[in-house]
Amino acid sequence: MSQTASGVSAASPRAGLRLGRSALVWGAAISATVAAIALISLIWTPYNPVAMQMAARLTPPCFAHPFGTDAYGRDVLSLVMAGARTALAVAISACAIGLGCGAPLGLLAAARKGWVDEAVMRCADIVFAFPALLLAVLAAAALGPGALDAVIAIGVYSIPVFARVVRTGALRLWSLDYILAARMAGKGPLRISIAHILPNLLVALAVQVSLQLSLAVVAEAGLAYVGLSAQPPEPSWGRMLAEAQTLYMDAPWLALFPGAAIACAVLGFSLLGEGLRAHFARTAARG
Amino acid sequence: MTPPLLQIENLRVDFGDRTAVRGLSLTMGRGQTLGVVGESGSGKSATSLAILRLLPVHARVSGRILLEGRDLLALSEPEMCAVRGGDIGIVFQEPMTALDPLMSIGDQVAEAARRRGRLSRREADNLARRTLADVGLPPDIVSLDRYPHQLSGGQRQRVAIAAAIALAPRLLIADEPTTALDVTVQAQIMALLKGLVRERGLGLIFISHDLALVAEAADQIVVMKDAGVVAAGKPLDILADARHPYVQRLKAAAALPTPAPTAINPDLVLEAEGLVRSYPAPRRWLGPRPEPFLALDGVGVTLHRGECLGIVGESGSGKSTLLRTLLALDKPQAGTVHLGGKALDAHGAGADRRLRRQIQAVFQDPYGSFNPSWRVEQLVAEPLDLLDPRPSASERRQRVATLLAQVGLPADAIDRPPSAFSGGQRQRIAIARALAISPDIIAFDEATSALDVSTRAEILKLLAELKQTLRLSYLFVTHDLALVRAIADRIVVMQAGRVVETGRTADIFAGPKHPYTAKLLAATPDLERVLTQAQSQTYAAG
Repeated sequence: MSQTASGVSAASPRAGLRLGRSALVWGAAISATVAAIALISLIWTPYNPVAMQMAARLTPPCFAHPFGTDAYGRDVLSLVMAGARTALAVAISACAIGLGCGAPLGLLAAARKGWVDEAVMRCADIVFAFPALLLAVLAAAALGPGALDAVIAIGVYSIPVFARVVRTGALRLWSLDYILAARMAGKGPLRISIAHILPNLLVALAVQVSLQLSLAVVAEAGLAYVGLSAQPPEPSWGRMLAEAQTLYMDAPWLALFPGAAIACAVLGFSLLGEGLRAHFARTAARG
Repeated sequence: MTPPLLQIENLRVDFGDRTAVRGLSLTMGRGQTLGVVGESGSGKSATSLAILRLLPVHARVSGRILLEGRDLLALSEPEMCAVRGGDIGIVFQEPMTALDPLMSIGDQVAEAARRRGRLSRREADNLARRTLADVGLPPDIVSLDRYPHQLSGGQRQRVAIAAAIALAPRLLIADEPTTALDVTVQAQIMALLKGLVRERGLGLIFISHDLALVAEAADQIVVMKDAGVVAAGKPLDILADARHPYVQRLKAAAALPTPAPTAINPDLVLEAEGLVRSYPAPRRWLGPRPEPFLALDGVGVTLHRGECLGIVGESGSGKSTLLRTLLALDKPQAGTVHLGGKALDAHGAGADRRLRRQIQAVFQDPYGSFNPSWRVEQLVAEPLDLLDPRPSASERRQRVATLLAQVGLPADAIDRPPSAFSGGQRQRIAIARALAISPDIIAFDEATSALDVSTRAEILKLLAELKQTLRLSYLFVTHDLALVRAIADRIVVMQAGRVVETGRTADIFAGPKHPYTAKLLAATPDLERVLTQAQSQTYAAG
């Protein structure tokens, strides 16, 4: 059957592979651009993003202000650039929390099975059942409003996602013969998890991290929109949308540019995730 | 003059730049069985799929395939749909995946007929009932509205055969139909296929890697290797007068040598007594708690120094559970395991490292046995962590190089990933890993069952040499009696979690005492037996 198996798998996903490759290229390019803009904004923006110029308020896009200015005369391009910083900082920190707590929990659940597994997975269900917004409100109540609330709320929500991804992958790996061989070599669950399970899940994790980053960007914008993330004057895409809401008939660019920025970042990370998935599926198929 | 049932002229199949079938020609008549034998990748499955025109679209097919004079390669796709299932039926290897899990077996058997013949529900059910009865699943025993998961592997393969013959095809193609089954079930399925050929007069193309099995069943044999036909003719002629060296090799590999009986050393290296391991049975909703499933029911085994103990049994007999318990990978609920006179009672991760050093294992799947992201050096050196003090990096590398030479792998293998090796080479790496810390005992869990017969013969030769030179003891778990005969000094036969018979290999093969052992032996395809039977028939006829 070997001929047919390889033949069939080579025939149908070929179109998908091409798509996967361009998804990877585009995803990587867009994500890198967003990241580069965030980094550049640390040292240079066309104008000081928080400086108000009441004389130039609500200027439509023009040569001096390509994205126009807002109701306080701030340059929208500079705000969008600086907003990328906030969006990425929150998304990356939240993913780090999710990955840092979720991956070990998933490894633990898969290694111990039984009641430990049950306990970890039921806790994950509870976190999923708890409204995200409520968590953000609670964090704001406890810590005062700020980007940290968003990091905590989004991060806690990523923990069960990563725990599940790792657990599922790890359970499959635990059933393979090389784990038995490692046990025959006297390795315990901890060393097996570190030496054999985790390195073989890096691909799945890379894919999940990119997808989770895209979700975190949306979530951060949503929380900022309702005032539960970065506080003024710190620039934020979500809050820019909130401020643009009352002016969208007169100054549509105020909503357009931050909206497009959110869409770009989300698209970039999702494409990157999909592309990585397709790329690694292809290399795995080639074996 | 009526044309023959199937005539293939100069069939050639290419996948890109790889040729899967090169110039195959054959003719078979009605009521005949044609056996196609070859190792994996020899082109036997590509041939069967070419006949059905089920090859992937990018495969290029040339030549002629005439079914009763009609060229199948010239038919349109809708015409071909009528041929598949109508004129030609096919049974695949894997009974688990060949059936739709969400469709009742009655519907699956009648599916082709309903789609084509516009049968009413009642007529379709009648057809399914009749056909299932023909394959030995009478509806009063196995009802039509059962689902595949409620059947055993053998029963599922019967359903697949019923679905293939429901429309009374003239040609049935069976592609390794018994490879996934136990030997006793295999014998039943073979008897069923032979009966169908006899009663319905259909032509059967029987594809298998097992020369003995094919020789028993077929009127004609085609032996394939590397996409070409290397021998064709009557089974007896092929077996008796094999001009092609490959056929001789296949034959030699299939008819494994019987080892010279060795004196058993009284020194015990492993002793297990009264092992019990049970699993809780799944509880039905609101039902009474069912009896737990006893995978091991008071099993005891002994292993002497320098001995190879074969543990045989069919799936579910408990042989793998026994091995896992002996390796301290699973904890028994009762019973003891002694290694070299010391009790092995710390199980799992924290097992006594000194005892761990005495026993190592080689597992079944040559593809799942290695961490894919490691190189051979790391893989083979992994058990060296058990040594006290741990060897230095250069000592490790030195040791791995010695081991690779010992198992017959080239020296440059050391820096390559496992994906660079074939199945047989991978098992050699696994053997090197097991030898790394010079254990007294090596356990093999179906370690050769994923390999082709010629590769298997080479591995067995290596194992025999290593056992001799390193004075190793082997625990050899397998379902394959021919294999156990070639390597084991003593045999333990297991059935349903118990040891039903144990004794010297030669004694068991000469005169099995337990009826189950006798049944297993009778069900195992055996080239010598085929030859003697065929010769006696020839004498009787002549």
